[in-house]
Amino acid sequence: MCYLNNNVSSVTNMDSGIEKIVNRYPRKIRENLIPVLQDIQSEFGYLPEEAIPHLSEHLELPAVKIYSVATYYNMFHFESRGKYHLQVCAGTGCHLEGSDGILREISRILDIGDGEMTIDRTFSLELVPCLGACHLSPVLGVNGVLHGQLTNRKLAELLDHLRIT
Amino acid sequence: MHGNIKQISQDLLPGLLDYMAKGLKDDTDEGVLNELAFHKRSIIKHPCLFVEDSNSAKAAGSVQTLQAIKDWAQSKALHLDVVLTGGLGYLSGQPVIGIQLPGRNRLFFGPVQDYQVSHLMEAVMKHFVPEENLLGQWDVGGQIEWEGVPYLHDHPFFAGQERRVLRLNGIIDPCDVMDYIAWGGYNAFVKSIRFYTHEEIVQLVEASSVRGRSGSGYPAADKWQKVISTTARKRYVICNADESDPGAYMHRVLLEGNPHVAIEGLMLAAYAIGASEGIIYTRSRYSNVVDRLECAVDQVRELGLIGQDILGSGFSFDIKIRKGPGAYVCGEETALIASLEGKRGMPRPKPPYPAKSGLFGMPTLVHNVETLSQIPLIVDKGPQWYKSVGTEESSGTKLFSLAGRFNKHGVVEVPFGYILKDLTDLNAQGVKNCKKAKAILAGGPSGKFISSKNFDIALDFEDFEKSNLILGSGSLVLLDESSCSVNLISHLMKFIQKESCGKCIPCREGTRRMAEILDKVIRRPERDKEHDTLHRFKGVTQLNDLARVIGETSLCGLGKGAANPLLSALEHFREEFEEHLFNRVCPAGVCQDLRSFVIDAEICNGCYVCFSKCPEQAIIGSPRQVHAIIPDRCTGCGKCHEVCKFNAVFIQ
Repeated sequence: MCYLNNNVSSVTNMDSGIEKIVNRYPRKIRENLIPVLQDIQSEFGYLPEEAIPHLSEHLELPAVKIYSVATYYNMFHFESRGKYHLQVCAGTGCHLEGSDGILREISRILDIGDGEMTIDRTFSLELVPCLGACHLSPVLGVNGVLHGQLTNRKLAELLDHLRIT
Repeated sequence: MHGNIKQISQDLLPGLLDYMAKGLKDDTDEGVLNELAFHKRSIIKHPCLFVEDSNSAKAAGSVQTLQAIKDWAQSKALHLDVVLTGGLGYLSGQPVIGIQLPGRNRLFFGPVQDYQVSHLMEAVMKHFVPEENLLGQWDVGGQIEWEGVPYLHDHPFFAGQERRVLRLNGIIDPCDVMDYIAWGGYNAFVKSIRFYTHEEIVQLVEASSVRGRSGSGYPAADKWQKVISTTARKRYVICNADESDPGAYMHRVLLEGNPHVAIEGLMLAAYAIGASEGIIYTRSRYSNVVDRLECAVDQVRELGLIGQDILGSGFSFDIKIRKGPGAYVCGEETALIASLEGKRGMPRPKPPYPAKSGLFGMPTLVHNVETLSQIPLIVDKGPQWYKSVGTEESSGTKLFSLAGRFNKHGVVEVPFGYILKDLTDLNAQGVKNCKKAKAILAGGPSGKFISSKNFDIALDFEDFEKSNLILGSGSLVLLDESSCSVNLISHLMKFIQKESCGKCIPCREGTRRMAEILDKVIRRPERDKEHDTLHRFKGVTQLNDLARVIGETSLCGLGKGAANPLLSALEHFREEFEEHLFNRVCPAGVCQDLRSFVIDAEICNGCYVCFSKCPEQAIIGSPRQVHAIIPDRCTGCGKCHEVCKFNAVFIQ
């Protein structure tokens, strides 16, 4: 879908990478589907579409079943993420402290919405349920590192800082 | 795999296991006792520092604090032992650090930022305890106490708590199994496997009348009996650690600080019901928790407490960690099982219950982290001790996580029957910014509101049932006068709608419709023509019926509880809904579309900042002239309110 690299050697690299991960798991055992998908995603940063036929063959499971699982859970995504993946906490605590405003401000500054990525691939945005740091609400996760007690000013500074680093 | 396994040497192991099974005897190996004392840190040679290392502490600056401590020690050429612990559960005190000098009780301070480190360390090294940021001293056992320094359990946040499950959180290194064993961990399991039969464990659990902590409060022993009474070639036990209730974080705090207590509970439950495989289903987003659980399970396996033929008893059991790929509904046990089988995590009709036919059709015991964490305590200290706190029908303690507008946040462990008012006024120290409390949303997105008039309710299953409330997982979110309940309900409904798995129609379609209706209530109508207004009102008049139908006809708890917050908000905050609906204003000034701002002409000095920042060009004025907002253009974004340095902009 978004795998833009047409370079042949890197395609084979990816294929062999996928093969290696898939072969770590025994054949035909469906219960391993989610762990394999997780491993592939943590290796490549997203789920490359090329992985699905490999998996389908290995687990002897129709590709449609794999898609049905991969699209059901909100952790899996078929597109790569930005260099900085921003996660806005939409937990109840953060909502009361104004996470809506933080999301609006990010959307305004970066011109992206929930689940989108900036054109230069620097930032991607995701709205997530509770990150579990309610004392610091509103909270923003940047590549898994939490930033708490955000205000619009702090947010703008943070984004500026990330942009130049 | 994990670099920091500090294992005990193999020749001490038999002696250690004997000690764990029988307790201290005359012939207990001296080497074992020394090892335990070392891990208990009751005998230390060098000053020891305990720094909280958790996801939320890192956000509060614990990494910088740790670095400052290391720098300070280096600059003084001082030998310091640093132990990375989980949290005490006191989130508002993060980053928390503990300092223990040889021969003295441990001191806890928090929050300690990096710039405060050198000042604090220098004072404590000179045996002077600064009062600033002091949480209290903690009794390590057999050490000299600090005179005039209050104890940790007398600190307002910890006073009144009965820390049983949480007793080792913030005290031990979660990545070192010996720390847990030094404080009596895994004793219950070793004792059970050596001296108790399966039935005896079940009887102990039955006698303790422990109830499931996941919401419904189903007696744990009944579940166990059901699993045992089903004949099968294999049984499973699952620990549900897929905590995704917004506003609930007690499992994260518990597992980050002490993963072993849940693992030991899982092992005991497996032994009692004869399960050969245990699975911990945790949340992949909690990366720290996943790491620590994996590390803990590896260490337990190395000690030989899980695996084939455990300690020569003939009982085999192993534990797998599975990372939940993120679906709220997977907290429901049948959905969780489907997810473990590699399918879409969708609930199925019950019965058959998982206890009869669960994972791969085998009898499966599913408990959440907190319920399993009770089992080691029951087996170790006996049901009588366990029942010594709590109420008649709810024995023991319960974890609650405090979120929202509380003054202090954190996870508290209080006996069942604790009064909610004490929790909010004493432990959480009231409301942020001295505002007035409005209500508490108890039980997450399927929970109900407790209005501030009813804060004298006791926190237990009986009282909550009587008042038609839901204890849920134990998340408490406080709303104050500046929070808008309608906005919150709309937000929760969107969350439920997004997380609805789509299997049953009432939930899939009904929650969407409810979210749409509520969204219309909190938004400015695009056109205020008669037809649209009628449409909006029609939706609102249908809300009650819709909520009832969804609740009655949905398959699982997600749909059944979807309308709970709405119905309870309609009961408690009817005026707020009416204000939104009839007058098109948000009394709390939260709903962006329904608020507008005014500039106080007496305070405004015409600094021009709001004029230049307004994205809608809704402000008129010129330098040194009083500015004014054009109401028709104002979208209520609040930018002017935010940038005004003179507090001249108010919500109308």
